[in-house]
Amino acid sequence: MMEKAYQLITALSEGDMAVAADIGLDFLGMIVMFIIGGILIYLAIKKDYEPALLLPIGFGAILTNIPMNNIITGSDGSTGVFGFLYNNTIANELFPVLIFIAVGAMIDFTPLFQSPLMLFFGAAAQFGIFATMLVALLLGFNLPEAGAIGVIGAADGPTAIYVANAFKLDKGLTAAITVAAYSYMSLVPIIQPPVIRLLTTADERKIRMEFHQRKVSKLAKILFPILVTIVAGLIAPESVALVGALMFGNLIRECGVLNRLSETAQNVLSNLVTLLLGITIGTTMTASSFLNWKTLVVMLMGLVAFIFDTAGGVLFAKFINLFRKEKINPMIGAAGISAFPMSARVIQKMAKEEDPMNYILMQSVAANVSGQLGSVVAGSMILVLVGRLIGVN
Amino acid sequence: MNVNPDLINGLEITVVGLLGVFSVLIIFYVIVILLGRLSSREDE
Repeated sequence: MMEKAYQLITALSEGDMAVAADIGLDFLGMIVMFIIGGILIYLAIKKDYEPALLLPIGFGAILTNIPMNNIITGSDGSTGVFGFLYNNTIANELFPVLIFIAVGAMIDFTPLFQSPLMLFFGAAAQFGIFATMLVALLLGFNLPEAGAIGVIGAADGPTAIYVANAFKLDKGLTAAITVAAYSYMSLVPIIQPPVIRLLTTADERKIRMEFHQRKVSKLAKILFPILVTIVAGLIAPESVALVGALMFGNLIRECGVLNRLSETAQNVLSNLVTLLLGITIGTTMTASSFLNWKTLVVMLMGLVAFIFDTAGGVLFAKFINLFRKEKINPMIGAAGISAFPMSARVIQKMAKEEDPMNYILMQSVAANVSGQLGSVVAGSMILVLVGRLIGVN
Repeated sequence: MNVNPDLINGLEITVVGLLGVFSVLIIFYVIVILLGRLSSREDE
């Protein structure tokens, strides 16, 4: 910092305005990034928006913009601590995969067995991914960038990071995608209700649905993750790391003999990876790579993605209702996004607002769990289809 | 008229991608239904 100030004074005294302007812009960029870091920390602490991620990201953003720091590259040109962490945990996609093991260990697929039809909402609500990709293309992003931006609509941070890294995007863009994915996930209770209200009538929101509670065998719950991995792997081998990690986590949960591992995955592994993931992503948010129009557009695209996701799910439910005698409450379609269990809760809350005796929580949870499967599959589709076009896979 | 080739590719990816997601989830649906029957047999 002192060195920069000395350079600025020297440039001004020598009348070298170009150098002075460069240093001034660097200084301004630093201040803006400090403010952005501060806002993320504020949102995490005060608004409780994904605090486990946004707080470390915000702090990392401040850390990395302190002039002359050696956290990414050491003073002798060697790799700094966070540079090492980035290269060995995010660039090689280790952390997203580890998070998936933890997420898999947290998911209970029982509601899905009780309402299998809800699986299709997990597919329909992925519409936002593809629609956002198209909007990003129209705005001038190239195909891999647009594909990765679309995956924000998976409402699934690790998938977004995984795909952005697989396409070798600029670190600043990857950071923006990560921040957008996690920020909007926490904004589901704000984004979804108005979109749902816009697309449904009060009568539709009052539709009651029967729920048939039935026991699901342990064998079924054990076979499910194994079969899903095999099927997904055979169809799209590129998805094996993501789907395999998710299903491995679920298998250790359901097998009944690895409770300690399951608990470790759900708590210790999840917390440890989240802690390092956030701050490592944050340290990629240098002013030079983050402060550009693309970052701003990516942030807006996150909103677009979640709106399209919600609309896709609701409209698909209304479409299915055209052919069904026993109507589905179309709000459930919106729970087909991956933000679990937040979206299911939002839908149940809205249903109760319309009719205090309407309980559609279990169906919403089933759609929400399906969304977790759907988001990984859709992310894998982007990975496969875009990857093959640009020659990544 | 000059259409951005990325946009054409994007449209193709959208159609194939959505079909792919639905196809995979249809297979998962079949798996869930079959495994669900397994459970009812066990209960009997």
